[in-house]
Amino acid sequence: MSIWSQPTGSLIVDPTPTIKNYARIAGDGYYIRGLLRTLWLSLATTALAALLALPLSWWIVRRAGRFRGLILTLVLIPMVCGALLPTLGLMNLLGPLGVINGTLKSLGLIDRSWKLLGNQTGILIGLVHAFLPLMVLPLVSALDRLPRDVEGAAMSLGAKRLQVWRRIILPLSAPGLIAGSALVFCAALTSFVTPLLLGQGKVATFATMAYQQASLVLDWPFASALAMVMLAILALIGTAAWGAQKWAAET
Amino acid sequence: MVPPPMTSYLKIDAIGKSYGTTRVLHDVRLDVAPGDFTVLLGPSGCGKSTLLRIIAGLLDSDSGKLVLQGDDITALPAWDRDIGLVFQNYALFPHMTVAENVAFGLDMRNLPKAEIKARVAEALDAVRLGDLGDRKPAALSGGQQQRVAIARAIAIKPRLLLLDEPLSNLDAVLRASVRTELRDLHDRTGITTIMVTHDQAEALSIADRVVLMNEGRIVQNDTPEGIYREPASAFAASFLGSPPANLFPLPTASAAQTTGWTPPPAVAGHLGTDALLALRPEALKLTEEPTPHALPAHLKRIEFQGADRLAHVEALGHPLIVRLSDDQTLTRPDVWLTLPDTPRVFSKTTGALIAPATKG
Repeated sequence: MSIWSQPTGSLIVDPTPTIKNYARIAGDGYYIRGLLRTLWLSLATTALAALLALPLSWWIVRRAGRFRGLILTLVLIPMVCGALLPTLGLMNLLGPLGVINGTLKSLGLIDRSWKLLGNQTGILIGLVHAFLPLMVLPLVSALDRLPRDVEGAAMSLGAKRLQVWRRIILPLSAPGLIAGSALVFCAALTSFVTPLLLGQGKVATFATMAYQQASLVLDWPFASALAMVMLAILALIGTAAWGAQKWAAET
Repeated sequence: MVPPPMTSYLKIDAIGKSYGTTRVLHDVRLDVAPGDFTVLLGPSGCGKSTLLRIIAGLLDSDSGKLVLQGDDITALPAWDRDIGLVFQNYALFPHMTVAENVAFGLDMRNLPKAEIKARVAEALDAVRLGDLGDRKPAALSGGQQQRVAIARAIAIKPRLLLLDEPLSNLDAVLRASVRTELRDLHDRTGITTIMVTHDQAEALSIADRVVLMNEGRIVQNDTPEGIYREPASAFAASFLGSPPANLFPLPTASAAQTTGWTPPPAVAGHLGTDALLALRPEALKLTEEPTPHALPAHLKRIEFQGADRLAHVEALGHPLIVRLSDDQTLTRPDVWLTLPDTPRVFSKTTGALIAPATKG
């Protein structure tokens, strides 16, 4: 359908094959910027999630003991609630009159509200919050396979904490890190509710653009083309993750 | 008891450790002489592994001091201690080859490449794995993995080598040969070594000194022979030996009389008191005819163990195990049990040694 076209002002689809829709995406700065913005947000979400999930997963595997089940459940809750409820909750938390700004102001730490809604910061917070479990779960299962006492062995051989992470824990958690990164990146790329609500219509991402075209403009062929571009990126990420796993297994 | 060594290479000074309200080490004091092979022996939960981890720096003690070669290392982090550590589960780095594993500690010390290569080869040769450097640990047998772990620990030329139950994951045949190799390696390198084990036979066969621990305390620190022949407590007597010493509670004088037993003079005085005899199975003799001071006993069964035969008997209502000499045949169930003239007597309630009062 993405190679069909729809004349302006009409709802009738012309099924003559054309690359017009793709040319429009490539030629219009609005869509290219949207694409780059989406890629950037997804990348930042992945990086932040990895940064948070690594110590958290290590702690769950090595230190949580009998609280492990409870903590894993707490980590998973945002996922099983769907996208809408946690995002609405975050709006309360992040808004100019929300919990975070309210607390900081009443403590006298800031004079003016931080702008945490209607911009990329808010979306980033929402995305990391929503997709952290996708990073934690594969990491926990990768770290679970770490032989007991390897950290102790490394330290007794002269490795400081940072070297233990760099030389032992990170290489051994690479499969989990790659799988988690691919999952988080793809989820963030296609996420729709989070950027819509936390961006408050001021930050367009690829998913919200496709939504606009499909549901508001009713240009289905163009919406399909946008979706196809997203699909192509997903396929690319999938292939890259698969290649990276093979590479990690070999080295 | 052999007097403790004069020079102290490692001084463990009143180390205490608790987990919550459970005290796992009660102000433990121990001096380790240079070049010694010391074994920390005790049942599981006695605190021996905790003590080893504190020496390695992987655990912090609550109180006390560690002095290694005159340096106070109590607050030194594990990576600055120069102490080699070998774990029960090997803890090899699975993503590195054998040679990379052994080189790890040398890498951390930023040694020149050529020296690292030479020392890796030297360490692998010492454990006879010279040709397996390119393999990954997963491609090795359990015994080989254990030897890689040992090579990795000695490659850094540690000031102290710590072994945490190094043989427990190996099968019985391998265990005996790795045990001999460990002792050989120690004798060749001269590294002061502390090993933790719960296996008394392993401790007796490998150690210069056996440090017996129970419930967070050192109960005896002695040579293998000393701790076996002259246990300082009923616990020590019953923990060492296979089978361990029989703990035989003494009857009252009248009960002894009714069964027709005239105990040896060294024992007679303890009748009716809070006393136990610790009797090694090989120190007891069974005869079919009465001998002076022999105890009437009932033979229940003879267990064949190859080189040994163990007679299970009952005397005064208590089970005892007697090691039989090779040529002895017993045909009747009613036998006489001859005790050593001066057996070791312990308190039944505290387990403390009552007699002989001094060495001998």
